Amino acid sequence: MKKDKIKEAFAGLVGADITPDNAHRGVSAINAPRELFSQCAGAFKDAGFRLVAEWALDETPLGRGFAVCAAYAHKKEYIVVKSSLPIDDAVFPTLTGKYVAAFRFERQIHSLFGITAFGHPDLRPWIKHEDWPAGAFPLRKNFNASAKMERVKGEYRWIRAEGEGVFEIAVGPVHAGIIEPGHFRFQSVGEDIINLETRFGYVHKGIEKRFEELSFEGGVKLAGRVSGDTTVAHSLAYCRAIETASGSVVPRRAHWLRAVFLELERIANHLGDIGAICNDTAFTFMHYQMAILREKILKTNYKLFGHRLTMDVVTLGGVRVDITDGGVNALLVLLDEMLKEFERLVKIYEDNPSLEDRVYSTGILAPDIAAELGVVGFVGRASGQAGDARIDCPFTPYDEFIVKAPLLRSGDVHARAWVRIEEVRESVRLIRELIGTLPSGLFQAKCLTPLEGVAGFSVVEGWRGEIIYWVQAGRDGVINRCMVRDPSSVNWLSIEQAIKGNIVPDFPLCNKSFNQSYSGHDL
Amino acid sequence: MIDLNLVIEVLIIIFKVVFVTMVLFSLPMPLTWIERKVAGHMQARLGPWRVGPHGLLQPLADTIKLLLKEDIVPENADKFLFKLAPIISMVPAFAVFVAIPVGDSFKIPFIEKTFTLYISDMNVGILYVLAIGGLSIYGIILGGWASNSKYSLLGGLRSAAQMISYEVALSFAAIGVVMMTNSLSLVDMVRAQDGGFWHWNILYLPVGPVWFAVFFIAALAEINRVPFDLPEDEGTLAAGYHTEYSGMRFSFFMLTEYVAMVTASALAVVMFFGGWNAPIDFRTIEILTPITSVSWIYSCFGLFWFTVKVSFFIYLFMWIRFTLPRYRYDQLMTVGWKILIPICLGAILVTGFMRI
Repeated sequence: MKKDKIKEAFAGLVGADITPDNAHRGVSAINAPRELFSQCAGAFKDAGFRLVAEWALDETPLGRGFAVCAAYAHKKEYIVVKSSLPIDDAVFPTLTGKYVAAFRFERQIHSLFGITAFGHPDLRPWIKHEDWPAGAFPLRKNFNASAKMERVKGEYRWIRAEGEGVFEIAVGPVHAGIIEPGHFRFQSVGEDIINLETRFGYVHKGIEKRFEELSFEGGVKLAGRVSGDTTVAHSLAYCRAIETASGSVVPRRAHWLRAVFLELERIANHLGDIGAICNDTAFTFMHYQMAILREKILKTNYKLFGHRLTMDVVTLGGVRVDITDGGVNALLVLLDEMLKEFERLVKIYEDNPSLEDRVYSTGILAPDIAAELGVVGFVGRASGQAGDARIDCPFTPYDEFIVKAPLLRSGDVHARAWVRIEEVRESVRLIRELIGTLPSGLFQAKCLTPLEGVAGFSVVEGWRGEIIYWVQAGRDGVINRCMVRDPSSVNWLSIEQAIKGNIVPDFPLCNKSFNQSYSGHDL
Repeated sequence: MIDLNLVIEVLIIIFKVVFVTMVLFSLPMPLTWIERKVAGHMQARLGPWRVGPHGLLQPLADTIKLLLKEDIVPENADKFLFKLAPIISMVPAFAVFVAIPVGDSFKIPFIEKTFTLYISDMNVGILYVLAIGGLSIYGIILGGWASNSKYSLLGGLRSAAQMISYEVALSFAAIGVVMMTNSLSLVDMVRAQDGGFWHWNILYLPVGPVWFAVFFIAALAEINRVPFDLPEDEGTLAAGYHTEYSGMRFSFFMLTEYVAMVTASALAVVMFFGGWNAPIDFRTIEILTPITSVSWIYSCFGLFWFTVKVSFFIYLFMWIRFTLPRYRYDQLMTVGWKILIPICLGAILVTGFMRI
């Protein structure tokens, strides 16, 4: 059953020089000659797959050259296509003709690896800013990350809408309030936005490069800091990738506890953001009430697990902290109190006509555009894209529970807020079930070291959506390449589409309703 | 030979002008404190707490900070207009108070002089208030323009569009009150509502509440407060027209906004809630006659009631600010032109028939 969809995709490529790749764990993988890289994408596109991620890697420590990979997914079927590239001719055919999401992935590969996507219409730098020297490709193995680089002058070419009465508004990279840096450039006629171009890279920290200097153990902490608000999901995805690659077994109790942390993180972030969406309509009341609820959860986290955001609680082979019987009770009491108050606030949200005027039909992301972009997470679920890794490719313990994911099709600010309201309710239910069926036993086991050259692949549904880690082991117990794909990498594309035709004052509201990660995107 | 009478009259006028100006200048200090306390408590916080008991000295600290701040004029700004704008905005806000009656007149004991608790009783009082109040907008537009910043300019333009749109509705509401009370003078308006709360314009059924609703919504928009605070929507326009202002010049704009809020509250009281009149006419209660017949005591009563009512409205404005979401620009325009104005036209007809 599982292979059927993939077989269908390959029907047109029969007889081609494609071989299975046995170095992958946790995902089906094939080796394709680079001439067929784009054709494979076409076959997957026709079979209804979406592009999950596209990345390059430098395999020189393993005695090979460069390689480029693309991951596709259709419901529970994930597949990685890998093509090797010679170092002196680092070019591969572009996927932009097939997938819109490939635009930025390939720009990123071009700027960080110096590997060119042949036929890509727009090779402006992405993430790496123009003040880097031309030949500096940080993700190549021969790049010395500790050396100081000279700063060069350069200018970024914006895509502009021009004409009479069109004027440009620049927002960011430094914003009012405690949010991350990102630059948004609008062209508007009067108050109507006719074009928005986003630009990131302001929080580029070299995380992917840093992974390659760390041991598998050390990578856990870094993964937990890829995006501070998604620390559990990121470290969980990293750990699962390593555990899959090494074939380590995690105790059942640890699986359950990891899921509890994941759902607590989901609730805390959703609460904060529902309030923040209201705050962007100047409805401060809701903002503060939601902040109080969020704070209650964070305080309980601190009391029970030693960290407000439960950072570093997930570790290789299990979890770092266990929960006591008293902790279970405290958690249940918290959830009861929280949910009661939450329902009262949701009622206020529903009954406020002025709020309705602002959130309904604002910032619409149409389902067909969402499908084309391959949008994931709550943004996707608000625009008719029923994808949730907890349901589609359930990892333990989600394979033993029935998770309900709300699906709306209107794609406006309200839909995104409402999906999150429903998810809070669902997460509360899940945590109650998880705690009720908590297995006894160990909560941590020893994690083995993956064999050289083996790549582990993992999918975790964080609160923003599907997080992908692809970790390849190198020689002597180091990481050769760790590919991180935060949901923001694909979802940021959608805000440019959603904002068109809206007016300037609605931008903060729309942006808040997407609330994608800058840090998780810039890496 | 100096005419003593004239001297006393001039002194009285000078006293009143100085007094009103002093009150208006110092009013924003307690008002900012109250506003922040109201905000705090509505958002389950404490509000100002550190400077003085219950943060009472916070406004003083703020004032000192504003006074000591560096006075920055942007390099490419139109310097003359940039400096002029806050003053153009502030002066009309103060000048409006010339016409607002805060109490009735009384005889000063021992000297045979009448002391009026209003600076001037113009027979076109309401027109004066609307005309002078409308001048403030020039300060805002000029401030936005002279800053030479697009956030300021957009904020200024939004402000202009908003205030002009809502001035129409506000003037209609004034017409409604003029029709109900048969006078353009604010003092006469209050006198017409004499004799208990059932005589107040708000209870001039069925049109009174309608006129009040129109007036109140338009006034909210005129003084740029939530839910109509788009000119200074911090989410999209930094701080709107006063983005580039700092120090004293910024505080002039802030002063103007608070005075405008007091004006709007005072107008609401004068036009719809009986001005200085008590909810029940105490002069009709015989036991109290010895007190109420003394004109200056009765005037103090009036002042008391006026203050109470105005305070209520100031609180109402703050309450609204922290409980309602902001309107979107196009929605604001729709409310102004497509909803309020048709309502006004209908209400004028009904009021007209009732007055026949």
